[in-house]
Amino acid sequence: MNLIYYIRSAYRSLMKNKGYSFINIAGLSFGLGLVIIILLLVKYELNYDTNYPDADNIYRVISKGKFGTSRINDAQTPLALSDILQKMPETEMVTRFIPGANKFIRFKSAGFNEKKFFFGDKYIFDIFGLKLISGSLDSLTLPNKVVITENTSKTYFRNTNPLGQTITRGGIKYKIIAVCNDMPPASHFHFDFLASIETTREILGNTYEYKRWKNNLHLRNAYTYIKLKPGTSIRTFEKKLNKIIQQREKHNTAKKSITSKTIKLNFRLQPVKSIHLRLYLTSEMEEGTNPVHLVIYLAIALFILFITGINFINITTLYPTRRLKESSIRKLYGAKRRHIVLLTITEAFIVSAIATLSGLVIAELISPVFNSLFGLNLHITQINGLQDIGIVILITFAAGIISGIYPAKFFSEIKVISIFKKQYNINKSAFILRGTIAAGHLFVVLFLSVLTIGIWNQITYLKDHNPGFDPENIYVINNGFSAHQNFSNLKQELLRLKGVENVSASMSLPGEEYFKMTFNYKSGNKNTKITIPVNHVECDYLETLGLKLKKGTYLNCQMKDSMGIVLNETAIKELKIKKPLESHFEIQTSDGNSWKINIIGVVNDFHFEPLTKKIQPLGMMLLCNSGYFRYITIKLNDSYSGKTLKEIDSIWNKYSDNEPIESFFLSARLKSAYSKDDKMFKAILIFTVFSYFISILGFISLSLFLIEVKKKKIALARTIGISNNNIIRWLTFSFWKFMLVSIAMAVALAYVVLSLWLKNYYYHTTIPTGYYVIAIFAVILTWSVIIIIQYRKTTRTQKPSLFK
Amino acid sequence: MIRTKNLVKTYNQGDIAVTVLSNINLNIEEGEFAGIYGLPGSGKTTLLSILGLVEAPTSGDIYFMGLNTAQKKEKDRVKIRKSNIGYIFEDFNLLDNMTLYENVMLPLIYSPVNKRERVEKVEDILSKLKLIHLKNRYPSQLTGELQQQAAIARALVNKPVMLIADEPTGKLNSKSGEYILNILSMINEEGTTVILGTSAKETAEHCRRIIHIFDGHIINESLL
Repeated sequence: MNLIYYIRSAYRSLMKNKGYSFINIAGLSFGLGLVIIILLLVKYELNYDTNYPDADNIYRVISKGKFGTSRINDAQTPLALSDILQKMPETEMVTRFIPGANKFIRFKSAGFNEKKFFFGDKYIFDIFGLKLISGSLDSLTLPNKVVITENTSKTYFRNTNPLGQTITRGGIKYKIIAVCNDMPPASHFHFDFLASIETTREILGNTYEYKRWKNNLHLRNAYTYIKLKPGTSIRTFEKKLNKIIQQREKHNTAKKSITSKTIKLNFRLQPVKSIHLRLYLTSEMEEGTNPVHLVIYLAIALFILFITGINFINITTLYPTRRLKESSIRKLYGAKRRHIVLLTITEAFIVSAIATLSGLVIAELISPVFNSLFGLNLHITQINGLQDIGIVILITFAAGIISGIYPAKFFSEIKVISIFKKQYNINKSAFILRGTIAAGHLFVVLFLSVLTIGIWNQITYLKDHNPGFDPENIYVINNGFSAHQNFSNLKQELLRLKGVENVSASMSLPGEEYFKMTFNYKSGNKNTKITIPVNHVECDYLETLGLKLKKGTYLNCQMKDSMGIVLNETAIKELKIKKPLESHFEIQTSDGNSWKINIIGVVNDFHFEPLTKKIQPLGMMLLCNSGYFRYITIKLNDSYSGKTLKEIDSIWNKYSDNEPIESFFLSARLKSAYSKDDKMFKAILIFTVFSYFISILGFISLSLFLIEVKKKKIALARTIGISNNNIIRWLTFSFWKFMLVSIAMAVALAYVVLSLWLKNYYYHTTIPTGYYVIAIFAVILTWSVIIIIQYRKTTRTQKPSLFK
Repeated sequence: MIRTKNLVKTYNQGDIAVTVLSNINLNIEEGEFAGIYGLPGSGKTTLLSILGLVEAPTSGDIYFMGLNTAQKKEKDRVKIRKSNIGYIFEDFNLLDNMTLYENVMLPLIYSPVNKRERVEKVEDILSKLKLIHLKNRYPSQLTGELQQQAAIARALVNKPVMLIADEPTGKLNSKSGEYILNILSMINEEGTTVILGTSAKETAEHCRRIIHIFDGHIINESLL
C-alpha cells in the first residue's frame, strides 16, 4: 500500500467532516502561528551580536574587582587599556569608544538632542563589519572629524550629500568625513555619530586631568573590544593581560595615585555574542534581555503546541463511532494495526502541514501586535536558512505526532468483532487516557492563568509600591546640561510660574545607576573605607522629592554647605553610625589633601534603585559647581495645566540657547523601569487568552464525547425519570478526579515558577490565596457551564427514544 | 468446507460468564447455500463470526478447508480469511468517504495484488454486478439495494471460496431483498459456499439448508 493511498484516504476523511476539520485546522493554525512568533522572538534575542564577521573571536573587555567596599562588575574599562592590548601578539585588532553625553547637535537651522554620539577609532568598522556607504576613514585619526550612519544622514540631510558638511555639538564643530551603514538592530549598542577620539582632547583641554583620564588604568571610561587571533586561549590571555597590568602597577608604585589605592581591577574577556543575555554588569549601553524570559516564552510555545495537539485529539475523536467502524471494516479485510495507525497519523500530518502553512500566514498577520509590544520587526521572511526550515518541519512533525498519536492508538485498538455486534464501545483505558488528556488541557490553562495573575499582581505591586518619596507631578528636564551655568536664574524664573511649587536639580534620578564615591569613616579607633552611591544635588532637591527629614537639616544653599552630606536611614544602619550628626566622613583628593564631610542630616529610606534591588546606603551632597546639572526637577502643584508646561518650555528656550527641551514626568519614568516585565505580562496574557479559547473548544468536544459515548445510558436514565442534574453529575463524575489532580499540579507548578521569578525582585508581593481560588473557580465554572449547555442542547433536540 | 466440533463460545460480562454458543457441531460442505436461522439474541451472529474466522471459539474445534483454526492466532486467521472469505452485513458497512470503486477495492489493498490486477478484478466484479457505471459514486448517493450490491461486489472481489452474509436483507424492502437473495443464489451456483444468517423465515427459505439455532443450541436442521 503506498503513501498516496494514505494521503488520499486521510484527505477524504478530512473532507467528510468539513466543519470539524476546519475547526481543527483553525485551532492548530492559531497555535502554530503563536509558536512561530515566539520562536522568531527567541531567535531574534539569541541572534544578538552574531552577525559580525568572525563574531566568535570578538570579545568585550570588562572590569571586575573592588572599589572600596563594593564589588565592580562593569562593562567599561580604562581608555588606556587598548594600548596594552594592541601590543599583545594574540591580538588581531582592538577598538574602543566612549559614548558622549546627551547633547544638542546643530546643523544650520535644524538640530536634535542626540544620545548616540560616540568617540572612537576606525577599527570599530573592521571589528563590527560596518561598511562605508560614502567617504573615507583616513582622517578619523584627526580631531573634529565625524562619521554618521545612513539613518542619521537621512534625518539631517535628506537627499543632499552630507560629506564635507559641518555639524556643531557643545560648541565644537565636526566635519562629516563618511557615511556608514547603521548598526544591525540586534546589537548591544548603536551609534548615530562616531567622532574621532582625538576630539576629546579639545573637549577636555590638554590638561593634567585629560592626561589622567586618558592614561589611568583605574578609571573606567571606555568600552573596549578585541578580536583575537583564532585558537587563542581566553583564560591564558586574561592571565597574561592582568599580569602585564600588575607589573606596570609595581613599576609605578612610587607614583601610586589615590584611585589606584582604592580600586583593584582585573580584566576579563566577554564573548560579544553573550552580552545581550548577561545582565550582571553595570554601565551597559543598552538594556539586555533576561534569559529567564526566553525560557518562559519557550515553555509557553511548548504548552501551546501541546494544547493545540490536545484540541486536535478532542475534535478528531469527538464522534468516534464512524471512525471505529471504518477501522474495524479495514481490519476485517486484512488491515493490520499499523495500517490504521499510519492512516490516522497521515491525517494528523496533513492537518499539521496545512496548519503550519496557515500558521505562517497567521504569524505574519499577528506579528504587528508583537512588534509593537516588543519594539521589534519580526516577519516570517526571517525564517531562512536550512536550520530555520528544519525547525519549521520539526514543529510540523511534532504537531502531527502530538495530535495523531492518541487517535491512532484509539482507532487501531478496535476489534473486528465489533462490526458483527455493531458495538463500538470505548474501553476503560480510552476513558482514562481521555481523562488524562483533558486534565493536561486544564493543567496548561490553569498554569498559565495563575502565572498571568501572579505576574500582574507583582507588576501592580511594583507600580503602586510607595517609593518613599513623592514622584507625582515631578516634571524633569532631561538635558539640564544645556542650561549651562544659568540654573539659578532659570530656577527663579520657573518658580514665578503659577503651577510650579518647587524647582531643583541633580546629577542622578531615582531608577538609574548612581555615581559611587569612597570615603574614610572613623568609628572609635577603627578607620574604614566605605563606598556608597552618591547623588550630587541642588539644595532644594530633597524637599522637591518630598523626602522626610529624620535627623538634622536638609542641604542648605545659604550655608554653602558643599562639604556636608545627607544620608539615608540604611546608610546609618549598615555603617553602624551611632551619632550621625556628630560624625563625619573624609575624602582624599588627588593632591594628597583630606576633606572633611560632615553628616548634616538623615532622610527616610527611599527606592532610588528599582525594586529588584534592596535599598542601599545613599549619600546626597551639594554639587560644587552648581551650574551643571544633568536633571532639572520641577515639582508642579495640582493647579498646573498644559499651559504651565508650555510656559516652562518657553523659559527653557531662553536659557538653553533654543536647544529643544527633553522632558518627562518622573512617575511615568519609574513605571517604565518595569517595561520588560510589562511586555512579558502582555505576551503571556495573549497566550493565556488563546489557550483559554482552545480549552473552551476542548471542553466542548469533551462534553460532546461524553454525551455521544454514553447516549444509551443517558436515554435510559431519562426514561426512568432521573433528573438532568443527576445525569450531568454522573456524566462528569469520572472526570473530576483527573481535574482535581491537574488543578493541584498546575497550581503547585505555577507557585514554584512564580516563586523563582519573584526572586528577581528584592521587594515583591505574595499572591493572595483568593487569586488561586478565582483562577480555579473560573476554569471549573467554564467546564461546568459547557457540559450543562451541551447536555441541554442535545436533550432538547433529541427525545429519549431517539437515543437508541 | 467448514466443520465445527463441540464448539463453545462464552463471554464474560463483569464477573458473570455468559455462554452464547453451546456444543455446536456443524458441517457445511463446499458449494452449499446454508442459512443460520434464529431469533435475535439466539447466537447466530456469534456463530457467523466464528465461522467467518473473525472470532475464536472459547473451546471446541473449527476446521476450515481441513485446517483446525480454533487455536490460531488473530494474525493467522486474518491471512486465511482475507483470501478465502467474503462478508456482507445488514447495514452494508461501506466506507462513506470512499467511492463505490474504492470500497470494492478495499480487500485488495491489504493483499499482495499489484495495481493492474486490482483494477482488473474490481472492474470485472463491478461489470458482473452491473455497477460499473456507478463506480465513482459515494455510498450516500446510492439506494440501499445498490449499496448492498456494492457490498457483495466488495465481498467477492477477492474471489473467496466462502461468503458470510449476516442479515443481508434486513435493511431492504422486500423487492430489493429478493433481488439481493437472487444474486447470492447466483453466486452460490457459481461454486461459492454461502452461509447466510437471518431472523426472517422467508429469507431463510431461500437457502437450500436451514440450521435453526435457539439460545446457543442447534435445535433443528432442514434441507429444502
